[in-house]
Amino acid sequence: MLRYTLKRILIAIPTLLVISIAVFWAAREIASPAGQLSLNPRISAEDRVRFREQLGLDKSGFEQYTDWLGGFLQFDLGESLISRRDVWDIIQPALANTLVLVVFAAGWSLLIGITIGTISAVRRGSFFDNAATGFAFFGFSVPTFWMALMVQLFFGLYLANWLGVTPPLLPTAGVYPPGHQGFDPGLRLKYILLPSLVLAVQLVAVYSRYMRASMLEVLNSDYIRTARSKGVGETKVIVRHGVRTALIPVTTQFAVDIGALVGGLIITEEIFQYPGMGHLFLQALFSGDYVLLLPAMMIVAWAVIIANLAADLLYARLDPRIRYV
Amino acid sequence: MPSLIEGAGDPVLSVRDLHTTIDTENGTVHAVDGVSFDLYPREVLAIVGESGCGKSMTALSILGLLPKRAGRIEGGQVVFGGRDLTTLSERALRSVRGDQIAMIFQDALTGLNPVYRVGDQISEMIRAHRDVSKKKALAQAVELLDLVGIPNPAHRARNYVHEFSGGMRQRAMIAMAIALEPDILIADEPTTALDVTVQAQVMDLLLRLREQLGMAIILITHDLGVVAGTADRVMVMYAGRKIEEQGILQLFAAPRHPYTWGLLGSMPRADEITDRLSPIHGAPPSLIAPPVGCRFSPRCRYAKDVCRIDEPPLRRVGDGALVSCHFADRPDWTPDLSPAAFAAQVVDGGDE
Amino acid sequence: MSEHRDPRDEMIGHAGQITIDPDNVDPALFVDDEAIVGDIAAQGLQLETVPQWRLAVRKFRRHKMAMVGLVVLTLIVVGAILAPWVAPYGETEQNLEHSLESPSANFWFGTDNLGRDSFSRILYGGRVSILVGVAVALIVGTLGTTVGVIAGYFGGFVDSALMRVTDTLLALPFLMIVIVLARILGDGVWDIVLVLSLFGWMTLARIIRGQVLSLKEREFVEAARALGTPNRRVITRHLLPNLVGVITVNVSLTVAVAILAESTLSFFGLGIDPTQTATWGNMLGGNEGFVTTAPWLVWFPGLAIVFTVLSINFIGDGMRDALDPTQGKH
Repeated sequence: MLRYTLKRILIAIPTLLVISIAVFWAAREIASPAGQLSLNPRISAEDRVRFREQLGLDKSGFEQYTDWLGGFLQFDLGESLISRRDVWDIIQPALANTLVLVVFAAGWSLLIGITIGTISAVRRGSFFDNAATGFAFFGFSVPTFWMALMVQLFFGLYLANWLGVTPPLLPTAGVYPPGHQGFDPGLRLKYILLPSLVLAVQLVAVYSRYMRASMLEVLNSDYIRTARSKGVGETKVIVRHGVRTALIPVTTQFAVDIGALVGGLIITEEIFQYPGMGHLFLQALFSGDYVLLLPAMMIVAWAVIIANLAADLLYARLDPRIRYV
Repeated sequence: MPSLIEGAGDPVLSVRDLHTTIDTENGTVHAVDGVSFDLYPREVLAIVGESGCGKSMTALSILGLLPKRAGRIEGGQVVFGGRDLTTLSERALRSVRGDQIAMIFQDALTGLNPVYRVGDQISEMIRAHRDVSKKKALAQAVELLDLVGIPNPAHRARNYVHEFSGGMRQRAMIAMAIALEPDILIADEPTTALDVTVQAQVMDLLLRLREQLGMAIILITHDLGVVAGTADRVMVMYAGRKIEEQGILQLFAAPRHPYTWGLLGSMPRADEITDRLSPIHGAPPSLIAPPVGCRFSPRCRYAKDVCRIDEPPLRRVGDGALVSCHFADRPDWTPDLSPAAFAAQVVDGGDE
Repeated sequence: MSEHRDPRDEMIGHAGQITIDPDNVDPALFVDDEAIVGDIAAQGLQLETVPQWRLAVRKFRRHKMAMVGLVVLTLIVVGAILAPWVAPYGETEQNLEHSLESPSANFWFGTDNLGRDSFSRILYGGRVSILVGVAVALIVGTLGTTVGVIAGYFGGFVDSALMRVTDTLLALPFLMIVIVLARILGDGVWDIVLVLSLFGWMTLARIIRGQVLSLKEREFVEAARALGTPNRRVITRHLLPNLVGVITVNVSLTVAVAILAESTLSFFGLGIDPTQTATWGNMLGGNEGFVTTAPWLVWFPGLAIVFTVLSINFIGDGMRDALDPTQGKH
């Protein structure tokens, strides 16, 4: 297991490097720093000179890259072209916000999705199964942004009006009320409730289906029959033999889906104006703030690759058959 | 049919008129259509037949392990320990499974869970029925692996299924099945997935365990060669019915049913040199709408009109053989009887 | 039941072979041809040879939701194709006196801030959205199948290299990359098609590769190769026909995914340029501000997307039941 882990980590490193080059190139293409500096009226003349130096625009592309990468790895990210604040100071809270949202949303939804999928499989054809299937199909046929809008509309306006309460019933934007200082878990929860609902619906829909399909296959396996023939209780058979084994392909699928999860995050954060990495990315993109855009993209891309690695390792932990590959 | 084992006494298991059905897309299949037999203590009863004849379904019916929604026992009794297993609740059945009647299956690679260690799966069997600590159960598992002849058992108990060779996997499954010294071991095609040399080892192991633990064995297989060295009695099934039952020596010496002749004739033999195997042409009938008359008649070279109309009952013939064939008590009824000669003697419309 | 593998799965696997209508004959009859014919006659049944595709259609018809989806999708697609003739108003026709009107007899889905009829725009927009979906799906189908077949069939270094690339691309955040590339390449319809296709083929490639790996083990492939059949022919005559089911199912589902992706991009203004042409996505994007004042502008294009994608998903599910031998009974 240790060897396998080390091997995977070693393989991941060149991927990270290749991706960093690709991101570096892409960010420059979208928000050409040279172009930005000359065209962007919000940058004063002195700043322009300073930024030129900082961005090393007189050096070769390769040098710029290595300089930047060195800085990146030491958390020295430069200053935003637009706000002149230290980029890492801007990114840090956004990163934290996104992590909170992801962990909260994904944690519940995966649990619920897997449970629903298991029950659907065990009680195949039942009302529960059909209802869960219907819900799932709906969940992955609806565009995330539209669902977010509808959720905002419903919880922010309609439900409140219907209940006779001043809207919004639940906050539909941001992470704290404007001007709020400090950490308040209750408020935090209120504000991430709706965005995580949107993410959760899609995750539950997708993972309940994956788990159902996987469980159906597993329940037909010989070892399930063997376990029953040993006189093991049915619940134990389903959970210990069924679920445990059925989780393996679902984990693999999750690794693949991490990239898509980021997409959902970007959309949800944007519509709910939730100040996370997704929102930051779009902001930097639209304002042409190259200095902010580059690390934002890099962090997201690297985070995904690392998450993938973690999922891979989890998969190896679950399935002893592949540990020696 | 009484046991051939001296002093066996009463049967340990009695199956009476068992009817089991399976729902499929095309309709309900009568997989086991009125099967009865007894199993005596310490004997090896072989159930033989081709794929789809219902032998596996019979075994699964005994333990109530039919596919959850599609399969069910429609009728009959399975009497064990003074109780009819078909009437027991799932909870009660669970206490019988593994503890008193255990089962092993064809492919140990798929039959054992790939993500758990072998030792843990054996302890699971033990702890399902006995109040034993994990540590103790694991120690017992190691002893069991030793009992079935697996070298280095303590180390092996910590291995996963895919780290075992085919023969060792099957032994491990056997170790798991006999953990609680069951009265009956049902072995469903235990050697089909194995090489010939390993087959012999596994069958020897089963016989040795039968001696040591005093259990009865139901051996399900389509391979008469495997049966020859191991069984005491043989029961032949076809299309969901029992069509012949004899002691092992008698079966090989004087088989009575043309299907059994076909089975024996289609076996490659070491003492005969032929350039062709003679398979039984045709295929078994559909069990969704079982045909009238003898179920084997479409493929039988001796079939007469009576065969197509009247299903022959199981009756005693000769010295203790049970057969279901209209002509089984003819004195010349042997595999050497040529169909032409038989046809010449019997006038169409039925003779006997 | 693991003991009884449905022989019909085998039959569907052998392209072009005569199959037996499973509705009339027990699938256990499967020994040799003369026996089958004889037995069928003995049971008083007729032998009907049914081409493989007819079997699939029959199975598909049994899937209720797939049939419903088919009807709905047909309506939508026909409406979209016939938009120029069926739409009551032009795509960009403005009726400023009637701006921001809620749905009425004149304007079935209401109007937007420029007085444009929502219903007509949805029909016209559907043309582009569906076109993008289908185009992406076809390109992804070709690309994914090619990569998957080459990797699976040739194995070894080629396989490792292709899979490393595939897995790396697959691990990346799809939306972020697509957004970035769309910014670089442009906002025309074909730019978007290109961008979506470039990053959508990987899943199919992996599925196809898996299928090819298992098909490679089957005897008819071994036999063909033993006979010295050149690789190209083995692939086209033996592998591809058996992959048709998997490909069809996955390509259909890709249409749904592509429509969702395009609408998401367009919504954020990163997809198809709304001044050029309307799509469901950019209709929603342009009207986001009106969500509380004129919610019909957000309802209807969204529902159009939902119904289209939902129908495709149901149809895909039905096709999976009918065609894909890798799926066990649902």
